[in-house]
Amino acid sequence: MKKLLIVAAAISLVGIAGSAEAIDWWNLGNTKVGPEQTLKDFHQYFKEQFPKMSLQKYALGSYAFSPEMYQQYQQAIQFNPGDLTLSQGKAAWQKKFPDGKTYASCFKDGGKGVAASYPYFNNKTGQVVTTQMRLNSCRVENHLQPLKYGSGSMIALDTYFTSLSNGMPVDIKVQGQGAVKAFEEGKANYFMKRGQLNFSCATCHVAYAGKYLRAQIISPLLGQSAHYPTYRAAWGAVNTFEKRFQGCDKKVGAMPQKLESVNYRNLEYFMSYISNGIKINVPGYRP
Amino acid sequence: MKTSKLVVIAVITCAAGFIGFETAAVAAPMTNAQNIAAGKSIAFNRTQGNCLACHVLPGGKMAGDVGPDLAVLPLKAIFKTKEKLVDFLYDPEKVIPHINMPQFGKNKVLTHHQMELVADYLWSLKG
Repeated sequence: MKKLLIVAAAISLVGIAGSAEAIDWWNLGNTKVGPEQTLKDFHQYFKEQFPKMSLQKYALGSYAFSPEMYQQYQQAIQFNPGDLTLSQGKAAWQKKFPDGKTYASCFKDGGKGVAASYPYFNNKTGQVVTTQMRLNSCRVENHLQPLKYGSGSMIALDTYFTSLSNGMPVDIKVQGQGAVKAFEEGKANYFMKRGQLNFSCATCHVAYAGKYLRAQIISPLLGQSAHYPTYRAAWGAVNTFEKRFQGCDKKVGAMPQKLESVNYRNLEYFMSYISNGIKINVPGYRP
Repeated sequence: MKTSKLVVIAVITCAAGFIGFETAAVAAPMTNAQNIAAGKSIAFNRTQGNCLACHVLPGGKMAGDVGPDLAVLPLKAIFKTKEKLVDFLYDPEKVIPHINMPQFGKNKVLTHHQMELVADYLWSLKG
């Protein structure tokens, strides 16, 4: 992963025909140095790319790179349309199950601060568990049918549950062999070129963060997990991090995977871990 | 493909000899201008070349800045021939390993003819 730092130097030297861009991304994504070192390398890389930007500012995504857009953002969040979804989620969260309990009964501290550590790796099942999976298992424990992933009611519930960690830093743990394996798989997926356009996630969100793709500023990997579920004007609705993965896959001409698939969960696990330390702000607002 | 091109060139050359050099000289630039216009249209179109997503091109609005600025990049000096530029567009990674650029031909984003038109357009730029 030292190579990541070389990428920083290389990208700044855009030579003739982009020869300096010639980084072996596949190799970079499959170089296993462990989660801690990977996080350190990424944070260092972004620090070198944007020396004046504080870690917390990454929570703003592409808005951190344009004062004009940031101003628009500040106006937009005066009334974030996502707050409607949040209140729907709150109502669902507070509604009593047939047994008289509520979702809060499934979580420590009634759910406050819990989502900051999601997704987490369950050593017993050998799986990455997302907020939506946990909300569904809470339902099943209380004799209710699971909600459909990606459904409006699940998104609203997820939004409220995650918002109970607002203001707290992302705090994902990757400990143990199985967890590290899931993390490394997510990382390899992040660097894997795919689709008709042959781009990896890293192509845009690491190499070209802060640059323009047409009129859009590309957001950096750091901080992306901290504002989901988020309201996107492009969606006209609140939706999840994994929904965004599907959109990215489609954009590069790759086959989108199912929500909550192993690959997407591992990807979410890797990306969220890299955002450790950045404060959660849900529902976010994005163009 | 190369053979057919050679045949076309041979035919054109013969025809030019037959009709006379002046006529051919007048006819060729006109066709080329149309090719350049068609290539520009493909380069600007979001559902075709969409070059503007990543590159600045003269007259292009809201261009990206991810790739080199094609308004100034000395393409002719880099690629020497237009055919080599077409080969590059077909599969950039073959020319520059791991480059972050779509394989327009290999992944069938554009047809060979469309890539030739884009190359005609790019070749007409200052660089």
